[in-house]
Amino acid sequence: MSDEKIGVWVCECGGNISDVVETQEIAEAIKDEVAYVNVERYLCSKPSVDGIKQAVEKHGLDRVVLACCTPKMHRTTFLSNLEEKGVNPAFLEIVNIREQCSWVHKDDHEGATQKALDLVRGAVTKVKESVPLESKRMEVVPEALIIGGGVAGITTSLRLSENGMKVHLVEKRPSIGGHMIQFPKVFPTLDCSQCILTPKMAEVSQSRNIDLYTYSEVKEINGVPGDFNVKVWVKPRGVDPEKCIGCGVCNTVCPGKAKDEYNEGLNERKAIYRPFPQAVPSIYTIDYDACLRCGACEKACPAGAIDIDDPGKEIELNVGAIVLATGFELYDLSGLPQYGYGVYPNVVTSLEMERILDVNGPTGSRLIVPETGKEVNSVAYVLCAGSRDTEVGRPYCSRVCCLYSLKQAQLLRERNVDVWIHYIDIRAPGRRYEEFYRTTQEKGAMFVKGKVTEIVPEGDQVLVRSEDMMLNRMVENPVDLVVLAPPIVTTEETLKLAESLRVPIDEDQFVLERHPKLDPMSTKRDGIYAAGVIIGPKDIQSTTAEAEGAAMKVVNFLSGDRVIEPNKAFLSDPEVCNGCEECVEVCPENAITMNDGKPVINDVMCSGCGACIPACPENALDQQGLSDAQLKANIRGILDHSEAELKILAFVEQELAYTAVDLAGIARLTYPSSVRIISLPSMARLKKEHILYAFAHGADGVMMLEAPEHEGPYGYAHVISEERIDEYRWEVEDDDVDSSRIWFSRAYVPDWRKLERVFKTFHDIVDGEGPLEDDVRDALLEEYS
Amino acid sequence: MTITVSREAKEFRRKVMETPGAEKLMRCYQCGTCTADCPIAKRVPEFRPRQIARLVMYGQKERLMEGDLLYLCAGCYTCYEHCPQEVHVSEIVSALRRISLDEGHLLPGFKALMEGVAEMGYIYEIDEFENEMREDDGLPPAPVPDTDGIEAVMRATGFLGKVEASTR
Repeated sequence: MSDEKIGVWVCECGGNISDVVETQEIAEAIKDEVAYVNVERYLCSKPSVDGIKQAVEKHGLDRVVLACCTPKMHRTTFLSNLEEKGVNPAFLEIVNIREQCSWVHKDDHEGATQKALDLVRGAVTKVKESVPLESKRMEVVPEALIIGGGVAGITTSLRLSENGMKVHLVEKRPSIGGHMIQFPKVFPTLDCSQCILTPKMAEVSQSRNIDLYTYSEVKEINGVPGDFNVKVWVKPRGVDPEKCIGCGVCNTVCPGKAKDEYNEGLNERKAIYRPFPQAVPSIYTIDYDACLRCGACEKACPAGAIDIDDPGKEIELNVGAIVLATGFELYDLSGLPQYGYGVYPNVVTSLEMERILDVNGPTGSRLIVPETGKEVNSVAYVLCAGSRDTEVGRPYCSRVCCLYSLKQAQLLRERNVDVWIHYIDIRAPGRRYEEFYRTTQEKGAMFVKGKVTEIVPEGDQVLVRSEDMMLNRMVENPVDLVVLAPPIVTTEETLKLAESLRVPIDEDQFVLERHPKLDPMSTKRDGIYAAGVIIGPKDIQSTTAEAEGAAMKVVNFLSGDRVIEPNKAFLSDPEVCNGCEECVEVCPENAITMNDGKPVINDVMCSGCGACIPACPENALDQQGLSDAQLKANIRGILDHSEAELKILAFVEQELAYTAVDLAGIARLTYPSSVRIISLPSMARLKKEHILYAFAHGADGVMMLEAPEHEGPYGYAHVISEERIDEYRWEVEDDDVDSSRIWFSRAYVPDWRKLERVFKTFHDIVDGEGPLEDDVRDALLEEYS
Repeated sequence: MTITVSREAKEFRRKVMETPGAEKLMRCYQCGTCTADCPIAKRVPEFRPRQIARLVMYGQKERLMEGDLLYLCAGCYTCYEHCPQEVHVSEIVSALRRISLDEGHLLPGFKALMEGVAEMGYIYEIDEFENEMREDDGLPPAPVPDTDGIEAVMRATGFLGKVEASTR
């Protein structure tokens, strides 16, 4: 017996285990190998747990193996009780002899008992190789960076500020307000968007907790979640925000002109400008692309606020969390000539129409074609002008076009303008939206089902061509103005930002949520959250809801120290590392960087999936809490002394697949007792060596049950594992192990029923092959003893 | 055939919608409940209440007035009862019939029928045979109508004049 003082408890579970498994036999068999053994009727009961604590103290036990139900049931309780007695969490092993043994082998007492004994032995051998581990705590910077000053960024900033958190809000334009401030009215209430957003914008500028950087861009972000270093580039604006009093004298004297972005370029503004009267901050900005550098503004400014030679400045921030709220832009329609955008003056985008409908818009509240000045008495809406179109590369629904078209239609009907809405489907799900749709119908807008094929000029009007699917006839409609509803898309800048932050985006180029249903405001990266259209097109209602949610995520993330679990990969043998960077390549979390020719694994970013370890050609990497030594000890412990005729080692992904296997037990399905389970974070943790090691020590078949590709907790690790195992399968034939002795499949939680068949089928295959040939095993054992 | 939207078409739609009962036309979202429930549509494939509503939206007067389309409606009001948007297609059909009468498009059969009412007070003649059947069912003989009065009312309202003037 070695120095470790191991205590083993075997639970009868009131017969649930002991009716099948001879628990006393196990205790008897193992007693000479450990310091203490006991059998309990109900191990999870208070007296039994107290008994464990007393025995630990009395016998000076430092490691504990509990053979009972699944660790998903009582691991936390056992752990906290043992920690009270000074047992390190790494020294507790739980052996599942109920869900994965007694319940599934109820007609095979002998096999189940042998299996339970093997599993207990495996745990004992493994725990001997364990080393104490401590989780680390990391202080977080209790400040947040919000990128984007639209309604999402504003809402998140205000909410965090209310919470007392320091917020840095970065906006690329001269004012916050985003697209929402461009809308005259918002659906479905038809309230004035400027009236509801302006007070929030003012609140941002007045909040002491919010540092606002307008006309600024995030240039670089380094560091780790909880402690990011951010470089912000404050673009030269030629005006000192501290001195500018917003009087506008500079604007009156300025000779430079440029297109007015706030009005979607439908009119001109001066080179020195304030984008709109209620801008926040209420200061002027020089557009250097349009500035003639005449100096007139500098001379005219009564506050001495203007410096034409403003070089801009770089600011460094230190924040704990980041919220991406950069919003959207409209798809460039110049690539879709059938709509004639940019060719015919009476074809505009929906955003341009928002400005035309604004009383303070480029046409001064007159309903005219901006370019020609012709009065507008009829308007046709073209929905899905690029959205839901795989040819355009925008196969998704832009989600708000139906509703904003209904809104604009109502505003137009109030002015007695003829409105035609050409649609494929009207999508108005959402509170009060159906009612809004009906009101639009009642106000007399005409809805035509059929996608517009083309728009052609006819005099000073344009002819809109589509089918009317209700009548099965073609329709030609001459109108004064056509409004296109283009796809809502992510900006190039946002895509670059996401790439630099290593935040994955989806096939529609929106930020991928950590979980689309259960964690929609988190990105795949810790400490980085998202709100609004950056996660997909949506209305203001949903955007603000997400903004509130993102604020809550930030508060949670920064509310205390971060606990860094001791499950990380590490460079165990720096001497043999050849600096090949294979580990850097494969890491799904991008947690590994090279420093001085050696990999540095960031503990905060490493998820503990184990995918890098087999990738290392020199075996220089290992994992805390699941070292190669522990894994091998577990394998040989289970197999070495087993008297079972046929032994199958099943590596099972520890969250989803493991749960599925437990569920099979709970449902009392049955499968052969040859199957012995070892749980792993992902199958990507496995080396070929581990599989051969298992064969060397007595396995006749090895199977892997991986989590589903996209649902597993370790992301990409669950994807690459399949390819890896596939390679191993063929490579083991070099050692004369038939590839049919290796099985890979994925276990979906609701698919637990199929596991009965999976286990049985593989058992039958291995049984057909018979036990691994002695000479093959002996040869392997020489190499993998 | 292509529908080309014109000023006249819009004017016709406005005129139909001014008729009491037909105001809610534009609420129609073309679900087809009216057609699926219509006892006439079950037997007459060209009679589609949904399409009648749609044709009115497009102001397709000629298409609506041609043939016996409008006079196929039995006036059972099933569409009225079942419409989820309260569009009242039956009322729209009534409005269209009124316009067809105003413009002299009354179907010849209907013309004869209406003239019969003015003459006999009934849409068909009541003779001994009808009254014997009524007696068998325990009913009194059909009242003898005041044909002069009926005709006077029909003429005073202008209805009879329009019926007589209809030249289709």
